[in-house]
Amino acid sequence: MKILAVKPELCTGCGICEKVCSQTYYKEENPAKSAIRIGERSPETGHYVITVCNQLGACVDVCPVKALSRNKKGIVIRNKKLCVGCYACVGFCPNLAMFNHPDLTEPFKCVACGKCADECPEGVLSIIEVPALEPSETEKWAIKVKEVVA
Amino acid sequence: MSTKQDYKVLVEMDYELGQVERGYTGRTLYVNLSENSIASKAVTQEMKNIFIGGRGFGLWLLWHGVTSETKWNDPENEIVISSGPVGGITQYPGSGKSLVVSLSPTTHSVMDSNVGGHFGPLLKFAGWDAIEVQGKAEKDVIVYVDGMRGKVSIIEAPEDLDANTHILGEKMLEMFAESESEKRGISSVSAGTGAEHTLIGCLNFSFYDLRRQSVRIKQAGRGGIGTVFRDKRVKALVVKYLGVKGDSNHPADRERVTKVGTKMHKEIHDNDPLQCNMRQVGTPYLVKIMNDYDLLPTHNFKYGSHPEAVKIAGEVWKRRFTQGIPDGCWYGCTLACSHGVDGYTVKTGPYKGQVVSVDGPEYETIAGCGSSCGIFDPDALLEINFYCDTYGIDTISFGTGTAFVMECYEAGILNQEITGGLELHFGNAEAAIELLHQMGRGEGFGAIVGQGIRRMKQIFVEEHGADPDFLQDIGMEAKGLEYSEYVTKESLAQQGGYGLALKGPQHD
Repeated sequence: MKILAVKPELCTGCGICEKVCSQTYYKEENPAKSAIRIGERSPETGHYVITVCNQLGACVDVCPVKALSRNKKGIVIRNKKLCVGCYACVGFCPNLAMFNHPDLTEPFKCVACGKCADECPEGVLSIIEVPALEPSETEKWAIKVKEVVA
Repeated sequence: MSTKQDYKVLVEMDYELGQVERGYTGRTLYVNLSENSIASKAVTQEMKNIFIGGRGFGLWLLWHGVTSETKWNDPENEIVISSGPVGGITQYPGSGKSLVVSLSPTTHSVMDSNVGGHFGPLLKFAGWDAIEVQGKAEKDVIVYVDGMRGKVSIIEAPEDLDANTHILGEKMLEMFAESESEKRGISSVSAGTGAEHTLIGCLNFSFYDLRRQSVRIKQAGRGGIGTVFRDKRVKALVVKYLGVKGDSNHPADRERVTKVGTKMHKEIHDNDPLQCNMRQVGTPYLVKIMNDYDLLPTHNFKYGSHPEAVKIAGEVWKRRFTQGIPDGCWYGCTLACSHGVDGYTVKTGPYKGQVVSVDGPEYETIAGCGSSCGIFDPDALLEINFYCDTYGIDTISFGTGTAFVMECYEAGILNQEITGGLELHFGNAEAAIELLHQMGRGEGFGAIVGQGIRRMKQIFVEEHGADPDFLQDIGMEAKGLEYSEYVTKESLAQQGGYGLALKGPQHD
């Protein structure tokens, strides 16, 4: 599966990625509507802290309405129609990479589209291939239910 | 089972689908089962200002519906269900609760009982801040609120409809969901045959569990409102509403609700595993704490701890509960304490052999039906929990009532002749389960235990020559309500609350 990989040591904090992301999905240059966030420099490393989804899927297990799932490519995607806007996923993402904004009723996240990587002038961002993850608890449960029903 | 076309609609009312504004729809739904009438009532500013919340609306509507002479089983008694202005907010844990208010068959006074499940929020989104049910139907009925079409109907219940909730809840989906995807938008309120035959009936509020693909239930347990429900010959209240979104409640300041709710999710994520571990263990985490502090009701509150309590403590349930999936009884409740045991094979009674999901057990079921009765067998507790729920019996009153008759049995007040052969000594789970089935059928000694402790005291004095002072000492009831499952000796405030509160001894 493909994820967005980051090299913080190359980041200059220009914020182009945030603008590209929000422009792509919400038609405005607004970092608060970006699925990638460039924070302050880390006091330990001196590098900018970059927050973006690594497609771990912890959110899939906390969604009460199964609005979050993995697509065939392994990317965790959100079904806007099913989402009830509870933001459990926002509070339970171990990387804090699920976001919400007052204008929107549903949360949003990186789907590894690679638009920001295309535009990053420093080569900080790239789409890389990683091994597929083990099924999450929810996915295991779905498999179990299928077996019982069968 | 009847098909949709077979329903006999007794009366129906069309209404305009409204918008929830700042948590209110601005109207309440009135249903009269004696007259077969349905009406909409306006919510006044006075109600919002003074009688705020689900309990407030319930008290207001009940006050105007009854008189000082009204008895619990008079047609004019009401059952009011309301989820209050925060009801149905999806971002803030715990905001799916409803309050049920009625005149109680056990205390003969005003009772309120709080419950999870989807009914209250969906009712609000269907256009109603509360539902007020008055009157008594001639035959069993279903009240159906269709929040998609804007229609309320009183429907004659199909004759072959099993009243017991684990069957009825699924049947309501069959009757009212027009597709698989509609199931998540349906919630029902019901009480089973035990609620009919006792005074300690509870109400089951359902929600559809998308992962388990089955109906789950939460209980408005206290004070016998399930008994009032069946006395009115209501088989089920059903609501349908699809399309819950993050702003369906339209709070005054959604941004702030979202901010504080999301912060709460994060804190639960970070701290719950280090604190009570509600997300894995649920309320049973309390068993060990209560036992350690000598506050766990044991042998009818005679003791506060027991060496065998470890067998029914949190760690045991953590292993039994299905883990890793959301268990909130409303969207966004990340504390998710409403756990369940899946794949349990029923061992006794009319549903013997069925493989079911048991909702719970929660702490007070474990303490009341477990340690207080000297029962330390998790499987027996699952059996009791399952049947209490499906029969519509309050596990707290059942547990405290059963512990009372066990102490009476051990003290020689009761014997096998009186109990119909049941050896009701502490720890006899088989006998406790048989009592429960008798309540479900309305026969035998179970039917007497189902009258509650206050009435049992009178019966045992009058018919079996028991010493009234002794029964007064050991009968854990006040105002006619059985004690909820805390030994109160360490807290004066709790003793005062239990002894003096109008509703009786309940931990709220």
